[in-house]
Order: sequence, then structure tokens, then C-alpha cells
Amino acid sequence: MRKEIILAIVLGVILGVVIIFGINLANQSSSDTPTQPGSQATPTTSLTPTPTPSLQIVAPNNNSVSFEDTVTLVGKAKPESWIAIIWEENENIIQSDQSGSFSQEISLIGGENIIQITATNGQDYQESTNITIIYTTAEIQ
Amino acid sequence: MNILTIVAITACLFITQPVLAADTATQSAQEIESENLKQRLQDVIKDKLDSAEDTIKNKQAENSLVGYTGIINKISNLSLVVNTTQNNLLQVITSEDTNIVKNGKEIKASSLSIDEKIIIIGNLDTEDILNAKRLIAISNTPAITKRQTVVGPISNLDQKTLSFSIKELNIDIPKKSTIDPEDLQDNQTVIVIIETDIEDQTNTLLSLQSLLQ
Repeated sequence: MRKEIILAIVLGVILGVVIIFGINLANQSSSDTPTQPGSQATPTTSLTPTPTPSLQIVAPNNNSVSFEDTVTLVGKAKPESWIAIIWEENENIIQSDQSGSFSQEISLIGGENIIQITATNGQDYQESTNITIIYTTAEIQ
Repeated sequence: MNILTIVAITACLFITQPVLAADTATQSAQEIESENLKQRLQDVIKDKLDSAEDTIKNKQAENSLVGYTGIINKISNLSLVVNTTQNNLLQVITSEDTNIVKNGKEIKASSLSIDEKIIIIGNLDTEDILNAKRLIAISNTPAITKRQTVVGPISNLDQKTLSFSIKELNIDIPKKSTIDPEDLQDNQTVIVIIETDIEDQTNTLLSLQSLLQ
């Protein structure tokens, strides 16, 4: 009787050791597996250099239709560059901020509005673009 | 004893049945009321969602509208070829629903003519095919002046004649200008917006910003 109990204890301990070993092995292999797409991953820092932003008009879109008599022109150029903006009723020279962003309230005339935008730093950087906006008060069905 | 137990249980059940039935009735009434409330809520939510969907669809339709200006190059049936002000050829498809306007009056597509300047509002089918929803014929009078931006160093600054040059462009400073000529000097790099008279090619200063000394 006592012999059987001792055998059972030994077998139990062996089984326990096998189970713990198995769990450890499983944990190790899962930590070695590369992260699958879609699963949570710690963000990695990209070493690719960000290209210097050139003149981009974020809003409004070229050839867009406005139902309001003013739009806010939002764009991006090189940081702290000078931006000359010419629109139908007026013109202005502004400076982009440290991130290169700029904005200008533009009044629109009925019909075609061509907005000319030129960005420069006065040295080696000058870019220009035009956008056209159609302003209408008519209901388009 | 067994018979007595069965009788007692039957009696108990018999007595409690109305109470249970009443409970069941109350429960079903509550269920109906809850079901009605649920239905009403669903209806209200559906109405709100439908209304929001309509608003979004209208907004999307407005946002998908594009507008071009150009000169009519070719007319055939309900289709026009337009040379846009951005120098692209655009095929414009009109339909019976297209609202075509000239001098404030609605006209037919057949009344349009080649070399006429038009504004087209519609939806792009592909990059160069536009389904017109509204088409406006406008006057094609050439501009008298044009404005442009010039960047460069100032030269030939003349305080007496109130003029200077940038890149061989002679620019006049208007007497009423807020720019003081005394603040300017030769070799000063500036960005200027000028207005050019197309006929006599004179340039007038509109705006100036000093960039570098």
C-alpha cells in the first residue's frame, strides 16, 4: 500500500515536470515568432529621411465647386518661406510657419476663380502653382 | 400516504394556477409594451439614420462636383470637346437634364457655338470625360491686365521716378502705395506682386516683401 502511494507521488512529480517544461517551451517559441500583420506591435522608428515638403495645396481642391463666397486656402511649403497669393479680388504675401503650413482667406467672385500661389525663400527655392475654383449660388441637381 | 402526497401537490398546483396565470398575463403585457417601445425606438433611430444618410449623400454629391472653364473646340450632338484653361481637352457630355445658361437665360445645347467660353459644373466620369449638370456660356473678352509674382534683387532703384527693376522688369511704385521707397535699396532681395498692363506693358507694384538684405 505504501509502495503504491510513493509510486503515485513519483509519477505525479514526473508528470508535473513534463507539463512545466512543455509550457516553457511553448512560451519560448511564441516569443521567437515574428509579429503577424494585424496583431499589436510596438511602433518602430523609421530611419528613412522625410522628404522636404514642396508646395502643396491641401484645400480647396483644384477644379472644385464652392457654394460659399469665401474659401480658406490651406497649403504647405518649405518652413518659413514667403508665399505670394494672387486671387481675383486681391493679393497678399504671407509667411509659412515652422512646419511649412500656411492659410489665407480667399474671397470668391461668381464663376471662375484662378488662384496663383508662389512660394520662395529668396535663395534656392521657388515654386508656383495655380488652382481654379468655380463659385456658384445655383442649385445643382 | 403516496396518494395523499399526490393529492396535496395537485391541490397546490390548482390553487396557485390563477396566480401564475395572472403573473404570466402581466409578464406578456409588459413584454408587448417593451416590444412596442423597442419598435418605436427602432423607428426613431431609423428615421434619424435615413436623414443623416441623405445629408451625407447630398454633401458627397456636392463634394464630387467639379468645375472647369474652357473654350468649346468641337460640338457633336449632346457632346462637346472643351479646351480647358489648364490646356487639357475635356469631353463634356450633356443630357436633357443639363442646365445650360447664356446671358441669364436657359438655352439648348444646340445654341452653343465653337470658340465660345463656358463654365461647366458636373461629375467626372473619367479623368477627361465630364457629365455636365450646369453649363454657363460666358463672355470671352481678353484681360486688360495680368498680375504676377516676381522674386529677385532690386536694381536701378530710382527714388525720383519711384521705380526699380527686378530681372529686367521695370516696376513703378504708385504714389499712393504704402511701400516707402526709402525702405528699399539696390541688391535687396524682394518678392513682389505686380500688375502688368497688357497693352503698354507697364508694371505697377501691388505688394512687396523684403526677403534678404
